[in-house]
Amino acid sequence: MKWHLCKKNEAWDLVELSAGRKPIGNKWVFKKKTNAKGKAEKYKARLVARGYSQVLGIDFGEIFSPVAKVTSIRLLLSVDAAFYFEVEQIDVKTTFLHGDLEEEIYMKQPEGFAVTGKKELVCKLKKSLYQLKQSPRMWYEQFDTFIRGLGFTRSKVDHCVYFKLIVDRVIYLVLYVDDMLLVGNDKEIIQELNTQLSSKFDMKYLGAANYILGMEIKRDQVKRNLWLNQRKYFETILQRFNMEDSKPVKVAILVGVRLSAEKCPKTKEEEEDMSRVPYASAVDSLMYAMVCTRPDIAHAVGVLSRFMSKLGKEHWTTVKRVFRYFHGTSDYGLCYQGRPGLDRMLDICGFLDADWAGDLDQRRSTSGYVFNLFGGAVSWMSNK
Amino acid sequence: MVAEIVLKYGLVQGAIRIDYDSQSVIFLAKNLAYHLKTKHIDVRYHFVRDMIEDKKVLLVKVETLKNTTDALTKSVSSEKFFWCREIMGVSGLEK
Repeated sequence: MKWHLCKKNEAWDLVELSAGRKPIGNKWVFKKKTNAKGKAEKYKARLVARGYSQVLGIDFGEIFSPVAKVTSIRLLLSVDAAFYFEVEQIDVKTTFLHGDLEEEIYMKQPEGFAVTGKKELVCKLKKSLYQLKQSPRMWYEQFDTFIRGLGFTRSKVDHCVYFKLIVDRVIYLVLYVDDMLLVGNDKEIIQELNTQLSSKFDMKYLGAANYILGMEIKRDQVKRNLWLNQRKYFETILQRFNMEDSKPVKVAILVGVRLSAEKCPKTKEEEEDMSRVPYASAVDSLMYAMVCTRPDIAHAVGVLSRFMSKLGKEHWTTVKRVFRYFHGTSDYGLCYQGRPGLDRMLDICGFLDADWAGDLDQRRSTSGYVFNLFGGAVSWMSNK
Repeated sequence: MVAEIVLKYGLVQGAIRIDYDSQSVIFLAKNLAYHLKTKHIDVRYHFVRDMIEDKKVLLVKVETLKNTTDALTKSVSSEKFFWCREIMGVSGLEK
């Protein structure tokens, strides 16, 4: 229950509403949390504010908040595979309740928990609440100030990566909203940081990291490799699009298959037919897989997402083909392998390519790159 | 970020090797004297030239057959696709 946490963090004061202001509503949200195996781990109830009724300039100003790039996470994981680093994960409980608010925001008293005898009063919020527009930003700022106070440096490239160096001991911290990965070459300083963080925020220490952003992390200390995969995610999306009984294929897109606007529906009936297909959400599911662990379908996803608004039968067939490809390779993921003898050496290797005006509609070229580190891709792009 | 890790942790890092299969691009990037036909190169691409001059990046010609990124820009044969996938480190656990 988040109720006692709201109270513990002193999220608000009960006050009279100041003239000319409108209190925003709130709502209880109930949720089931699952673990890596898909089993229910816990049930929670959360008080959320109805942030959509907030007014710009009165209830909120700046709302941008950065999140870590998946590339940073992959990069650190690959380094960690090669150098025997420790990777531990911490989760922040009631993340947004830690952020301090800059604006004055009034909220109605929560449903079912109004203080008797003071029903006409409203809550003046002190802490950011879930679903307030500025909550993520306030949390990020709070965390940023705190972690920099501990002597950490923020990476210039990714503002959610922090690091600290003490002689030959190094520690990296990646912040993904409320998930944190601590990567370091010394268990002691990770523990120390954990204690410091716990004293400030309400944390849940999860030990060695094995599941982040829907990616499963499997390490083999003896073979010195790290395997990053999304098995569970593939199962879920195959089920969602009824593809779990499909016939697996080996390649996502066949040679010579060139999709173009010509394959788009010509008649009204064809268009009608295709409008019932969940094309956009299917491509979206594929894209998440591509962004996290599957550079091998980057080209397929790139091509498919060009036909969001004018898809024909052939495009949909190709989407299904990519799902069938996933079905055959659902246990595939990125594997990083440290090489003995190269203990302090980073071997980055990049590849570039462009196809010469391969797009049949606009005659534009597609370019792509892959950067490899320790035998696995860390960064890739395929772009028209 | 790689540079930051390298600096702070004292790792050794050679030049980043980039493989590309177009020789003309590689020559252009290396040779600044080529000015008549290449006058209108966007300023941002001169960054690449600077990096090459400082020996931070090494451009290497690679056979088209061995360019991993082909799988990201066009549909390729299954053998090539498997090969590219392996180089990118995408594999099942048992391997």
